[in-house]
Amino acid sequence: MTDKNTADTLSFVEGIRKTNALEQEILKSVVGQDQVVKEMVIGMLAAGHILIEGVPGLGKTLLARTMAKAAGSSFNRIQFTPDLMPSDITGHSLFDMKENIFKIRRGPVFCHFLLADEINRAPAKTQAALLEAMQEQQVTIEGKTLPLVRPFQVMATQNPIEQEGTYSLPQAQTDRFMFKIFIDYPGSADEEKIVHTVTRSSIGDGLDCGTVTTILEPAEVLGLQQLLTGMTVDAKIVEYVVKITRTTRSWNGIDFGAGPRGAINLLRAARGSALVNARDYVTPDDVKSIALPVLRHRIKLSADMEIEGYTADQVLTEVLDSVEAPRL
Amino acid sequence: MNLEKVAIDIRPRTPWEAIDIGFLLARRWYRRLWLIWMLTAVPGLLLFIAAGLILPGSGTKWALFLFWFCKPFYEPPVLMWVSKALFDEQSTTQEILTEIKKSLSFKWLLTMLLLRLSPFRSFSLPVVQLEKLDGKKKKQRLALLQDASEIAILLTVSGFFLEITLTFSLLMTLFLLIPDELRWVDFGTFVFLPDKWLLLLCYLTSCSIIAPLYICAGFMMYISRRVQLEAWDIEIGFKRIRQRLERKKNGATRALVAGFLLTSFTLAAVPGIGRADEPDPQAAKAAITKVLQQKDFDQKVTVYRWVPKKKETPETKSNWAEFWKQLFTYLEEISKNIAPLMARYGEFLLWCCAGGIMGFFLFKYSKLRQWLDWRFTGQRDSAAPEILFGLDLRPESLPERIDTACLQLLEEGHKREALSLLYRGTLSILVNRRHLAIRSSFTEDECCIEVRKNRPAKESGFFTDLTSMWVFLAFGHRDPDLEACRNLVNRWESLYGVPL
Repeated sequence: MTDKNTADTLSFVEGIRKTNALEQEILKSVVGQDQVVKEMVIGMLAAGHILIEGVPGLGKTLLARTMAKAAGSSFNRIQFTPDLMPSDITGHSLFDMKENIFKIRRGPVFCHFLLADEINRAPAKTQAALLEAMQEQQVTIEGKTLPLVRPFQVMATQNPIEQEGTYSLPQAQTDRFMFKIFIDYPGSADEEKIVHTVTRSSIGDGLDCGTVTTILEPAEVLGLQQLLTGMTVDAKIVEYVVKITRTTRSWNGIDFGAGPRGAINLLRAARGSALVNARDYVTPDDVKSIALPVLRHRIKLSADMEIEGYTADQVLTEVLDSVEAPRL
Repeated sequence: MNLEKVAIDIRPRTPWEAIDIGFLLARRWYRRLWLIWMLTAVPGLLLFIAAGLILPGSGTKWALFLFWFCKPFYEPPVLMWVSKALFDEQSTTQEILTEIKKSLSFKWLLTMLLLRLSPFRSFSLPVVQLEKLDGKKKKQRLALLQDASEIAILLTVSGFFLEITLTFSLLMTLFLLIPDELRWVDFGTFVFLPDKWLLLLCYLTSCSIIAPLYICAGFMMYISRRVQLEAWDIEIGFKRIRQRLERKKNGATRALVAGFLLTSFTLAAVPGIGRADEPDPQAAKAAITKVLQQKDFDQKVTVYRWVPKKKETPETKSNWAEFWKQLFTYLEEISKNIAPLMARYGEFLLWCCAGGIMGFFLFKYSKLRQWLDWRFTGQRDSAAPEILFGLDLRPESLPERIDTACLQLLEEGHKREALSLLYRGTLSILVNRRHLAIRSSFTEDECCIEVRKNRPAKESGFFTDLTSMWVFLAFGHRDPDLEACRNLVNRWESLYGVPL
């Protein structure tokens, strides 16, 4: 946590340099997940929360921890379980016998990067407490409202293979995540590199983030996020973004398409993508390249499409192929 | 062959009875017969596995095929042993194999291979192996013996299906014995495990179980037919009469019976286990007629005796029988009425199926065409779009000299218009002349990738630079360097510098 909550003013050139350095630093520790790292960095720049789906053991915690360290930010991890209570996340008040007053003990949510591991294992009430904090950027304990530190980003994980005893996130709640990222197995060469790196001069299976260098300060992260707001976005790009989200609503095979929040997040993510690609203006490529992680959890496929085995990504690819890209 | 020591009751039997008694024989000496069969089959299988490794493709597949094809080679030892055992001649396996070794010749091998193609192999094998006949004689002999060839075929077919069923039953048993937690494959994969060694093993086991039964059943059909043709039962009957009379020590009768037997033996021409001599049919007929004309055969005696009279019981009809009869009659009537209707619907369904199949192939063809279009975009002939990304790409909508027009616009300070024209002109050439499949959903980068895939490096390099500058101007709202713009126009001129 830092007291320095004001954004540093950065030039675009400095911003681009810092972003690239951050990405490269994370990639040193997280091997074979280049696309995931890129999307995570974009998510951080766009100040969006991220839902990660992948089987256990692919480095989700390492990724979050590395990113927090490289961004010079505090990191907390909560393992969601069926008996987890909202106060276990937000915090609670304790009666101090010496001073004869109630004191507030802050929960793990008070950090810059929060990893909510297996978020779908906790009941809806606990999920809602976190999702409220994500949306409002503040928590209320015993009637007292406490703002969360900034930057604040939640990385929630879901395991796609074990569905017993889970509480699926409702559509309204998944919509609050900017991205849904699929983390997949690394390639053979990358896996060899991971095994070699992790087992070399280390004891046990603890995550080693010791070699990660701090690239940014929390204030610089805020500065980068601020930088995105000053980007050049042509009206045709906004039109393109809206056209894509509106097409998801009328597309045959999609029961419920993305709402305006989807369009907003798509544009914010496209800005982040532009910065990662060393530009201070958004192009249709930025929109199209980031559309899948932004929209895949915001649409609901029709029953027949699901029965036929179509995935949201396949349908969205068709949607994107049908929308004319702007040329001005 | 000693008919008196035969292990079974010799009497005329139907082929079905013969098969039944063959099974009984097989059961009696099953362990011995199984071992003899395995003694021949297992070395054969090992040999085929070795051969399979040399042959191209899967060695086990070859071994399985060769093992199946050479099945007649494993049967003669079993047949030899059972043919001797039937007449109480116990032989060792070594003796049997020595005997088989003696009969080994190229002709024998060929005959055995031909037997593989015979559907009544079990019946033909004794003729080939025990009577040692071949060629025309074998054909004549088989023609004489085979009165129930369809039953022999049925025996072969049943044996085949039993082997298959048993093989898969064994596999299923093994599969079910694997605990659920350790079952790593489904049954289909389990059957065809890599190299199919398990299938081969189970097939060998099931063949070994069926083979003794099959050989004995065929052999007994053969014996039964010979009993019928050569009257072995009569011969045995006479022999028993002789023995009984011998015990009474009646010399005169003995002489009479001995004389009669001598005559009958000559007529019946009872063979050894080898082939029987066939009597001349004409001579035999004449002899029979002569015998029948003798006085002893012409006596007619009328005998009266009491016969129990059957009690007449009224025929009671079963309700169930009546019900089934009525039901079947009803169903028959219905089927007669609905048959034409069914035929019409059947025809309709067939046409629908044909249409469906045709539609499926057309669909597949269109998919294939799409794929081919995608692969050979440079060669495709489809009509180029006139408007793409809202840009008019028709050649007539563009000035005759794009480079000149662009330079003029640049001189006038209209960089945006100049680059727009250059970009539009380039896209028009790529779509109309180079026949690139650029879709309206393509972004700038995707267009660059498409050009990079299908055009030379010089051209794709130019297009990438042009796109970057265009994006910089259009979406970045920045003024590009004038010199860089001129440079692009010059590069355009060197690439496409002919009037459109």
